[in-house]
Amino acid sequence: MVMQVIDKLFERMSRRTAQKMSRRNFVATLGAALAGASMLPVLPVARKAQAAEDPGVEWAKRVGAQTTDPKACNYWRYCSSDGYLCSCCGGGPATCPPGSTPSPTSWVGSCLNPDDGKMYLIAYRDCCGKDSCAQCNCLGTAGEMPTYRPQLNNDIIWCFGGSSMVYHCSSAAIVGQV
Amino acid sequence: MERAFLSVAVAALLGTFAAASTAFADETKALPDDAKLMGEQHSIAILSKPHPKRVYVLEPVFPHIVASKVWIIEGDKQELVGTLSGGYLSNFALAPDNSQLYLFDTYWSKGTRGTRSDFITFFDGQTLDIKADVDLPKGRFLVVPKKQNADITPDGRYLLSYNLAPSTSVSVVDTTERKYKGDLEIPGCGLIFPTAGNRLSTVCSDGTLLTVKWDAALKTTTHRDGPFFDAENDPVFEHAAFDKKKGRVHWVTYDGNIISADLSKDKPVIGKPWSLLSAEDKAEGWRPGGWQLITMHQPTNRIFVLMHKGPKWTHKQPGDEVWVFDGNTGKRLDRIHLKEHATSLAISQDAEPYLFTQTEKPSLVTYNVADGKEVGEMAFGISPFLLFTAGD
Amino acid sequence: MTRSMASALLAIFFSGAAISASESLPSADAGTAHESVDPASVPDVLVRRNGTVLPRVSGAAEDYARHCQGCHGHLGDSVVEVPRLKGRVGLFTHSAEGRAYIVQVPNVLQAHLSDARLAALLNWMLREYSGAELPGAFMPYTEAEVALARTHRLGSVIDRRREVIDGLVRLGVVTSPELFTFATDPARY
Repeated sequence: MVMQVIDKLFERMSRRTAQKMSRRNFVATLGAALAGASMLPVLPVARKAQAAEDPGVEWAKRVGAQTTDPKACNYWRYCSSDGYLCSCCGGGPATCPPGSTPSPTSWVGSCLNPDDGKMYLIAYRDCCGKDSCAQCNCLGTAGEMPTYRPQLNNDIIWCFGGSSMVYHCSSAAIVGQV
Repeated sequence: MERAFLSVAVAALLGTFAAASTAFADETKALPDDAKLMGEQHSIAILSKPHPKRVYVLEPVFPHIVASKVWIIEGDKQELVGTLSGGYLSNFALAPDNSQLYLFDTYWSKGTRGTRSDFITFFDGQTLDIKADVDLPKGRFLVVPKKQNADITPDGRYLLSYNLAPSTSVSVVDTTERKYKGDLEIPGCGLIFPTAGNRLSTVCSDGTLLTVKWDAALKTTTHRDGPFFDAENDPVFEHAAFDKKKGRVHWVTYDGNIISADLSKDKPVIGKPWSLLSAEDKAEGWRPGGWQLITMHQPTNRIFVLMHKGPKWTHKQPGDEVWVFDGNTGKRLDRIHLKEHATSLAISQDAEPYLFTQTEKPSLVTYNVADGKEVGEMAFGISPFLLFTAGD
Repeated sequence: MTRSMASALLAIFFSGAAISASESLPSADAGTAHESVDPASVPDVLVRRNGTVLPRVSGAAEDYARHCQGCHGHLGDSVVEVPRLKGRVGLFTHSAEGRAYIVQVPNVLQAHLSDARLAALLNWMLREYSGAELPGAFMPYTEAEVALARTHRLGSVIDRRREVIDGLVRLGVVTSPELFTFATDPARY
């Protein structure tokens, strides 16, 4: 019961902070809250040795990644997502808001699911064709590389093949489990 | 709007809006008869001559991403003196003498849709009048703006604009002919560091450096330097401390290593990496981070880097301090404590330099490098991102 | 993007429940059995709600997903600007130049993969997306062949691609270079 209340608080707080604060403050606030409540999430042991070295692991621990609220910056799939969450704009992590279109292209990163300790490949593609949504700005940079390595960069407008190259919001579809 | 305003005024003068418009009508009536139609005549302001402490701030305006903006700030007076309005994810460049300003731009005929057009707009540096639009028929790379996605050769002759379509190339526009000349292929590379009127270096995905020289017909000769950093484990940031006139560059890596290079000849000379961080700094968790996180005071080869405490993969986290290094010796000269953490920085290239920092509030906080003291803070815009100064 | 591709994608993105459509990007090819993951075992609100079946990827398929799939697509067919792999890339292996060329494409040559892993990735990719176009006596890439091809970098990828395709026409592998056209005009996107 206590845990449920804390979970609720935590969820609400992360959603609110995600919307109103920069990620830096967001992380700091989360950290403080977590430390104060001594409820640092205990991550299951990573399945593979490789997973332990994956950039997504450190992120998941630092922000207290969760698997239930796609409207919060610390939703586990967003470890490398940059920009406005489609989830806050009338869509979802794998759904474009009405009237926007997904790009067939993406870049592929990987995030740790904090509840099973497994790594999943995530396709970061933008929903495109209308002005930027301007809700829930989040910045995850786990494993993110400069644009001379475009396959791993989250500043690029991933709208190639969309209805236009105008960025609306950022999505994060699961491609597979590794 | 104007018409509506006039009719209200006329109505007021006729006394039909007696109650609502009393004050307005009284004021108008109070004017002497012969002054009624005179008032102020509009003039158009012109910027003073460019000077080192003028800052040009490029803003992608993220909540309205199709309408970029450049704010022109007198950094010594904390005063806004003009703006440029651009399109989608514009890039910006300054002529070496600041006499012209350039926006690399993208528009759609119906705002967010319709026919796409890509071009470079030439602005007069003082009147801000538009002098030309030169088409970029190959398009341009659309990305949250970084300085080295678009630049100008040190002699001011060619504008260079990066493309990823998905083959990678650089579009070349002649500023004197005001004409697109063609594209230079740079397979598997990105970022443009122009170091002569006909030469650029570019960073490749495997950590090599490709130097491309072109002739009048854009025929290229290339030289490649073997991997000079570990592009998998410790990549160089996209922003570097760069002096295109001297061909000098200091790249910084995610883990805080500096790689200095002399790009002034056709074959670059790349130095051995050295670390910004002492063992103690590393133990404390310091690392470089931000957006435009490093710059150079060119006359003295001093390097300025935004630093924060954080683990790996916090490379975009804003800096709490600016660390100052001697680019010749690698010795740390100073630590400037920022009153507000910053994502980008730039420096004036005069003898008594000011340090300009872009905060997330957002605001522009200016410091005097000599004593690290704040000169002033100015708030403007929604998401300003890149800072440019004269000669930078 | 072709219309059918678009509608397939739209179907993927817009079908199902209001908050989130099925996000199962189907396993790369019906002919290749990827192990699938039981949705009930994936702790994620949307995967469970939608019953999305995810593929488990490893080895060369994982390398493809991480290094190539973003642009070339999980079906080997993506936007018009990106050369199609599906039903096409195998044709390059009919000539020595073509075999070398597909290693020398910058994003392949410069990939952060060892020669052995790159060879395995190329062999997987060729069979997965273009098995029917491979020569009858297709010899899989070896680590040594990849290592050798990687020592030569292309000056102009565009010119080299054209030369290689012209060579395939001369050899009678294809009747016309038109099969390989793709839009390079960025004004299209």
